[in-house]
Amino acid sequence: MTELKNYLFELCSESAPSGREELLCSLERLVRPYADECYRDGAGNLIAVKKCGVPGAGRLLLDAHADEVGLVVTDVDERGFIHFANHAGIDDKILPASTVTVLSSHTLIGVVSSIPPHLDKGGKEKKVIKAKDLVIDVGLDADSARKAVKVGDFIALRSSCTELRNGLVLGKSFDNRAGCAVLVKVLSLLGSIRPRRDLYFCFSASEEFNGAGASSAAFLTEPDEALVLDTTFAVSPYTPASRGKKLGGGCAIGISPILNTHMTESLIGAARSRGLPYQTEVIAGRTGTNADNIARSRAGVPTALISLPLRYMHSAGEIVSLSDLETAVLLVMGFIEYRAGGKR
Amino acid sequence: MNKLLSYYTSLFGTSGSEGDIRRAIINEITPHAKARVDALGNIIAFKKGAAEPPAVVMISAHMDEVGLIVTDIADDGTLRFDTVGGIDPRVLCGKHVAVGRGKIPGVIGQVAPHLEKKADRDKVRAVDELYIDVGAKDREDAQSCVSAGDVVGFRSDYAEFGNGLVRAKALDDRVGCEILTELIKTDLPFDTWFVFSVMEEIGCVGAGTAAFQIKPDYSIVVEGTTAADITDDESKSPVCRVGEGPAVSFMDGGTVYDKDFMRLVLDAAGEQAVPHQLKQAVSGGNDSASIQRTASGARAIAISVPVRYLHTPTGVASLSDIENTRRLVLAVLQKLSEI
Repeated sequence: MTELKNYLFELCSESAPSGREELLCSLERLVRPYADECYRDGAGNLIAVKKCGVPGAGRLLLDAHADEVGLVVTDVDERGFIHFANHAGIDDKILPASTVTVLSSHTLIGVVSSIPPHLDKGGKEKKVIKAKDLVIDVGLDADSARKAVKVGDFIALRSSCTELRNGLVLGKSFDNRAGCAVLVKVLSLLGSIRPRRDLYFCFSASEEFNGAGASSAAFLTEPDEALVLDTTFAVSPYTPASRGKKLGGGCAIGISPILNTHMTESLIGAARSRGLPYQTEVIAGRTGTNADNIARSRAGVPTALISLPLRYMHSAGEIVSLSDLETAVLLVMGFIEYRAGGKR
Repeated sequence: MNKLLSYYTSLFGTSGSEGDIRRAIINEITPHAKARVDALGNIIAFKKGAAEPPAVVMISAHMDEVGLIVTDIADDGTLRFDTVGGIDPRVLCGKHVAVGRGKIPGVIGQVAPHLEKKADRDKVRAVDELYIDVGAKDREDAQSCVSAGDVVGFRSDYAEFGNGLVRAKALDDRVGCEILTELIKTDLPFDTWFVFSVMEEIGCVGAGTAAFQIKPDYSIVVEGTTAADITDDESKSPVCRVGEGPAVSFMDGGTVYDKDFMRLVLDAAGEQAVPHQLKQAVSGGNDSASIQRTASGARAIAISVPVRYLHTPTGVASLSDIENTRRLVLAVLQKLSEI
């Protein structure tokens, strides 16, 4: 558990909004020692390969997206303030008074503006402040700010990782560094089983933007089957059980028309035979994850989905359960044995 | 780095719960001044100067900061809260907090944008619709570490950044506490009273009772005040600007300041070449409102460090403004010794 937590916290100490996945240096550092091959492809995916040594063996693709939600600089004004737009997935509601990381040639830390309550005359109903009406303050005058920050630079939410009660942790970009941490751990454990298939671990790019990373990774690696790890909504006061999964209740196994029924059954079978807690997440259409992109790539790839319950998605205060991550590791290991394995 | 300001802003001290910051200040000032704590928790300190005072002069800064207070624990273990002091609910969603004496970490919940109903997209949830999540399983689990009445502070790091700026929580009014502490460590022209007051953010409570004990002729409040200089809307006042020196108030929401005393402040600033600005809006208010009307009244002035994003988890101020505010208060004392 401690190791998984350390992986997660290390992966979340860096910022990599969709399109800047190369900034996640810790990922390559964690993955490389365990992989037979490790490379970054043209789409920005980091791909780590574990060969089974059998010529002509099949291929299983294990995918977790490495990118995170972010903002993008649209202007640096004559007072040195940064204007920005939503780049991927961030709700305007969480922005005022947030601290952010501006990913320019040198990283800068900035504060998102807000309206002082003293100047906000009462009476009117408060409206959400739109991103276009906010600025980021990096504390620089116009000349210095324009030198340091360029239009098109990306911006990430900023917060540190904290342990809460009951094995829960709080931080940013757990969507989907939680999935990445699980796959890193699985990769590190593969010495204990002998897969009959080559395993392609894809830490994919651009999921929060358009899913292009997973599409091209599926094309490149030519998998027979794919398993996607991502996060899903956990129950919280405004997210009832009808819309979310129980945090700490085990990972959610996706059931959806776009997912492969046999593979989904293998996941459930692996969970049952190992006594792992799990939940099922029924999704009536597409899943909204990389599973959609992978399933429809090439001539079609049978795909299954595991999701980690997460509260307050796309904010700097996301919460996941370390026990769910632990369960996910065991479930993925079980799945690999089921579909591509045999004990050593 | 301004180590004292970093230390002072790192401490939690919501109105009525100023214990940590009070102990820190007392440790800093007791070698240099005689200090006591009064019934409400104000620090009242007497600093011996080079000469007899021309009049009773009281310099004050408030110790408390805005924050939250737990009002109830729900069945699911989440905490309902209210604000202590004026906080716009729009700055709360997704922010990290520390609850109670145990500084239990938590976060103010929000709804994932994917699940927000279209009708609610532009809706601001009021404070009574928000909650804190400390990761408790249920009410009983939460009760093992949190109680109704526990105060809640924002978790936010101190950092100096940009062109000589600082960002931290509680700059309102730990900048004032830092400046007063530095003044107490300085040789002053005459005997001077210093007050570190409690409960300013809930209606200037402590400063009034402190003033009753000191009965000042002159009151100088050292504050952190709103800088709205981020606006590019010409029709809106910036109030004051970060980096352009301390803001001197002629009037705000609670006080019309003493004209003669204000003239003296501006003269002192001019003579000592201390950069300064006038606060260009009648807004907000500070401890002067209580001090001015206490006992037989005092001539009041407020000298403030401009702070952007006041009353949020992260304010921004200028280190040179802080230094110049200290210089201006000292210049005012020197000028007062000539009257």
